Amino acid sequence: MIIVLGIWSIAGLAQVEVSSSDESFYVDLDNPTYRSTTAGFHFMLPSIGMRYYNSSFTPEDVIVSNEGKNLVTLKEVQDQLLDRNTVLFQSSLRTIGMMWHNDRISIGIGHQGRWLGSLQYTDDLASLMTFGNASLIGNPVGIGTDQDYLYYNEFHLSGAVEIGGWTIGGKAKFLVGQEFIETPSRDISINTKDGGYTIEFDNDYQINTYKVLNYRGLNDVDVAIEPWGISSPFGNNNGLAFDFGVRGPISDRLQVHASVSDMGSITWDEATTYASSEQLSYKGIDLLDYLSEDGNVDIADSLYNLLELKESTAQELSTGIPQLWKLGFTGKIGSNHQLGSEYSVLKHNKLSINSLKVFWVYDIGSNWNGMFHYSIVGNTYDNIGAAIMKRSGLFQWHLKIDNIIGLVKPLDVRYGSFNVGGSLFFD
Amino acid sequence: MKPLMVALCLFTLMSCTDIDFNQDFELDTSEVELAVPLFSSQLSIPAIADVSKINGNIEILEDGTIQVNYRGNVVEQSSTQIFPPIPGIFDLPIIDTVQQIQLPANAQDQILKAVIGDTNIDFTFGIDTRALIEIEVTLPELSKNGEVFKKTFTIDNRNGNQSTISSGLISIEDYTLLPINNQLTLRYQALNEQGQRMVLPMSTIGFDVFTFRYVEGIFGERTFDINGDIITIDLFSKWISGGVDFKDPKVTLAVENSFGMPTKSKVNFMDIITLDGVTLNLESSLLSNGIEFEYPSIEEAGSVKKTIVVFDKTNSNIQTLFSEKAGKVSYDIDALINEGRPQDPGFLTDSSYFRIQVEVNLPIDGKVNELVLQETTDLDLTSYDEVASMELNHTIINGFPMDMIIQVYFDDATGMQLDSLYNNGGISIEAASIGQDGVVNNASSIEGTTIVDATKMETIKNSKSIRVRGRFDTQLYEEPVRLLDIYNLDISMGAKIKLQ
Repeated sequence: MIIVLGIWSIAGLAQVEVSSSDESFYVDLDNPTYRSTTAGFHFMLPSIGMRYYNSSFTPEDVIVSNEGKNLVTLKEVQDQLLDRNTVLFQSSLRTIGMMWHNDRISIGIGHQGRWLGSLQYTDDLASLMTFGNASLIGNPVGIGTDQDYLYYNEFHLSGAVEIGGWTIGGKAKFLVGQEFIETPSRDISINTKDGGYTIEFDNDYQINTYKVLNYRGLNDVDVAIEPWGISSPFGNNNGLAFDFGVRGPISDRLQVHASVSDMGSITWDEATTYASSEQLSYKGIDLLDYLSEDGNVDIADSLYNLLELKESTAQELSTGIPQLWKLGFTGKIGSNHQLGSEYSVLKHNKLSINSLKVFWVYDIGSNWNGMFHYSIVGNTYDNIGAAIMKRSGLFQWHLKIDNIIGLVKPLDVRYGSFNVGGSLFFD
Repeated sequence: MKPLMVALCLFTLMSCTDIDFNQDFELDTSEVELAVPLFSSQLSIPAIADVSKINGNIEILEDGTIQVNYRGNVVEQSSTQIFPPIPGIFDLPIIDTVQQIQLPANAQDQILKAVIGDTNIDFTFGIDTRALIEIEVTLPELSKNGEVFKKTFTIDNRNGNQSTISSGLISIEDYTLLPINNQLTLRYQALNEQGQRMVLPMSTIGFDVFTFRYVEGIFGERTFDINGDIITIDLFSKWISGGVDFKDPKVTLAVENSFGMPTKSKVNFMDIITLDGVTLNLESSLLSNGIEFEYPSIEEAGSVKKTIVVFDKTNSNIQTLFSEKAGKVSYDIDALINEGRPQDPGFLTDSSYFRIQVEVNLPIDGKVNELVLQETTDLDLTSYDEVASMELNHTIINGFPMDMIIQVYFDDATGMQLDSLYNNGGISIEAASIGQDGVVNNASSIEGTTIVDATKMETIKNSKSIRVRGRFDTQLYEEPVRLLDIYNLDISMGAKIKLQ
């Protein structure tokens, strides 16, 4: 079992807010317990965060220049593959937000567009694509994949209250689903028999989608994603979600925080379902069909026809949104330094990525704050990141990158993220 | 993949990578080897015939023997073609008050009785004086339900304004006509106001179309010219060489006749045309002597009589003819009516017909002597350019009592052979064994692997057509073998395919 540890940073730690390290502990902006240490209005300007994670290889591991072409090959990474591998893209775009703080209470509103796309595949599928099925004759292998893609708009109301040094916060979110694809059933087993190479399939596979997948047959599939279609932030696909969090001191110099975000779901007005749940056997084309069709019978087409997915429509289909669970500790060292760690889990359908992060926050002075951090994300262990934040008058901006190596070799990392944005403080 | 890479670069705000985004991205398939089932079939003769669009149809005889039947077009002569409706073009002048009217019938035919069809007659009368004339017309030989045809007309020309009168169309449908010497008597009586009889200066009778529902009489000898037909035997259209000795081929002549008169066949010719274009005559005493066809008696009017004549090896040379490469059966048959019996009464109705259909019956029961059949199909492997080489695995179970050799040839656009798939002339499959009852009791089977290396694969990719040639032979068995519907050739083939 792989112990996956790391940090969740896209909409979380990436947005570093350190109001005053000599008075308060570090807390990220999207934490339900976030409160400014000074009373007043806080306008959050647009910010963007993106994240990439590949459990098993980097792009440069699998792309080889050969005779004027970029050959994509999984040959060299077969040993690196896990039983089940994950590729993840995630991003968020905060368009605007506003908070009001006094000495005990904070309330706020805001909007974000949020995206998550992931693919989970087996090492057997990678082997099949790399070496074909001839090497698998007689051995049933699972090749089912998980496809997840979700894009939704989030409008939230937030509130936090400080009681006896402990801060309790939460958010209520109104969700508007834009498009999605998910794989509630993912089992496809393929077995190539010896002799005539009859291929047997044992399928329990289902894909649900709204807009993304346009399926007219296995050899005629369109995937149409409109990831920036926020021009229509409202629609018929609605849902609710909630964040809860608590943080507080367990000593003068040590704080603990815990939160769970995005407990909720979106109900899609009318989704499309494609499913195959049966055992199938393909023995090649029937020569009688070949004769009757005057030779217009294609092996690939006949296989596609056999594996055809059955389409149906699902009314009021409810799907979950990615959840984030966090538990962390932050300790003060002197007046300008904080050391902390945070364990988090991202969960969505069958996707689960654990992260562990340790960080050092340094109040540089002159309204500059910096942070260095090391993260273990999934099974990636070489993620050294840095962040910087500067306040000038009312304006504060920040930039954070989770993998500095990615600055030099962006296609030679398995994990990376960045976040950039700003705020206006009227305090 | 490329947009993904670009997005990644943007993601990190950098573009430092060894990957050249100006180059196309392509999936590396150099080590891909696919194991694919190419085809798997259970081929029986009825199944093949069902999909191969031959002209014939398959019949399974009681003992399971397969028989291929080829039917020619139905050729038919109806009564309207033999005795067509006669249009009335001109009106016939009525010169006297009693006049014989000649029926529109052939002189060689004597009509004894007829039931009129959809026919209308009309009369016109005219006078040249100012008078009131009453006219009564009678046709004594024309009656319906026991009443003789009779009509009355009035001309009132006292004021000088009605010197002629026209009856308009008068239907005589379903009237029974009993003519004497093919003649019909017309009588009329014209009386003036004083009761005096007179001969009208102008009188005519006409009809629109003279048709019969039923005609009974003595008909003269005549020949029905029934168009011939050509039956294409495409069972052996792929025949290259060798031969098939059919044990009992047949040509069946089926005749339906509802004319009530003696009818005899006159076969102008019945030929077998070989695939090489050679015409061979079917010889049989039935053809030379003529065939008397059944016909209904007058009491059986309206019924249809059937005559079946079979030409087989007992009454013709048909078995010899079909041992050649028979490609077509061509025939032309006429029907002779009342030949030599002109005094016999007969009949016809408006629905009488004479229908002939010729059928070729080929029971697949005989000997096959190194019969070679070949099928050629266009081939386009441009979409399989990534295939580098193949290893073909075949399994064949032969349930037919005949030896087989199968070879596949690849030809260029001109038909020139570029290569063949199998070495040593092809895959050889032994015949299934036959038990005492003449039925297969043990199928034979073979398995094998054929390597198509890169060189041969390139040749195959360049070919434009594929020829599958099969050689079949039953000489293993001395007696003719029957091919039953239960016999199958189970054939399956899979390929391990290496990609480029």
